[in-house]
Amino acid sequence: MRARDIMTAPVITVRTETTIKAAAALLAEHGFTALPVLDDDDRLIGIVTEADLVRDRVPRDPRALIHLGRAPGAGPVTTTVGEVMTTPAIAMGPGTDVAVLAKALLDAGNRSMPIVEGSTLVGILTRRDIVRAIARDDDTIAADVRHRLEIYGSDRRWQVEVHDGVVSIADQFDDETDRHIATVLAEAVPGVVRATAFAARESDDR
Amino acid sequence: MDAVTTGMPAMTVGTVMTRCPVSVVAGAPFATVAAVLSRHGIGAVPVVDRDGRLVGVVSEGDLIGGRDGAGVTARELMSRHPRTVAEDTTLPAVVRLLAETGVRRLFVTEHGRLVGVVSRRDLLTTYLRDDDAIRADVERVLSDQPPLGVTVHDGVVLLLGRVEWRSTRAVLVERVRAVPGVVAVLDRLGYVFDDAA
Repeated sequence: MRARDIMTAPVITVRTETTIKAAAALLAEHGFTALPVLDDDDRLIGIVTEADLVRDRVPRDPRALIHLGRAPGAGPVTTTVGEVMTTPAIAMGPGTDVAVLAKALLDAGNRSMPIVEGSTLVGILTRRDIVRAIARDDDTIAADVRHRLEIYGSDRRWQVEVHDGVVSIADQFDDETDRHIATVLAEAVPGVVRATAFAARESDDR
Repeated sequence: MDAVTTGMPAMTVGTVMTRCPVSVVAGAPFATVAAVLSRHGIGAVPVVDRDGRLVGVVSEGDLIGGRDGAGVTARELMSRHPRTVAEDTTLPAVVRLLAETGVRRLFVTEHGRLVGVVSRRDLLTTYLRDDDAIRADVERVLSDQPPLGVTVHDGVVLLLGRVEWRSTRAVLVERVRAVPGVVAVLDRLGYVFDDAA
């Protein structure tokens, strides 16, 4: 599995002069983990995460603000992305093996990896994308269950449906023992939450 | 500190938390944990015992390390002793805790039982409240005092002026610290009468 197979594109990005308030609004609105920062030539220059935005709001020693000479009553201070972002940003190419990318994310303690071709941002890949790829979707589970039930009768006998990991098996015959075995087989399939089997009615529409 | 004194009771984490969060048991297999994270769109899932007591947490990072999922359960994947808070913890205290510890979510427990979860993302807008809005709220909680100088920069509140009694200062600072969006309070208040005997 390569980065290009599971990355998200196009990517929502910000500029160095974007305010942290605007960046926070984007993160909250889209549920993103990080925003890549582009320069005036649309090249990747950095990345800003929720942690970067929040760190700015809890200064270690607030009394330092007084000694910096900011006069009380002076106008509001607007902080920009450029002041809090991480730069340069680590990035990888679209052909990168996802296992390599996962290790890079874990080693760096990062949650998202910008994907670039040269210095052009072409996508972004997060820990969540990798988990989604690991977690088995209903179609994959259904195919796996059908495959395992083949030894217990052709695919004409068993009709398998999977919804959110819950497997329903309709049995064209009416054999309770076989249905029990089918349930046990299905529940051994990775990703299955539970399985139930029942006798299909004659008047079922297909 | 009650509503009559302050005019504005501090919001608690119980007001904003997600109740009855999705969880898994320690024996849940790898594939189930992955499915739960993926289907619910969450970055980490709490692990509970049969009595609903919080025993650990499994995050995305614990799953993507490349280990073969076969035969692995939540018990082997989880981090133990996740950080927790009580339901009556004030929001500003939670916001500070999230910022200082760098964790992305706090589980809310009662007698060890998981009752809710609050994430840093949920409170992101609280961190970044407009200084003008914060100042208006601070002036309101101080409205029973003689006029005081209040300035707010990036959530840091500076209090200037003079109160009548020395003992009032600490009370006022606590009121101001409880205002949502306040990051820290710099107390430069003077007093007329010293009642701290």
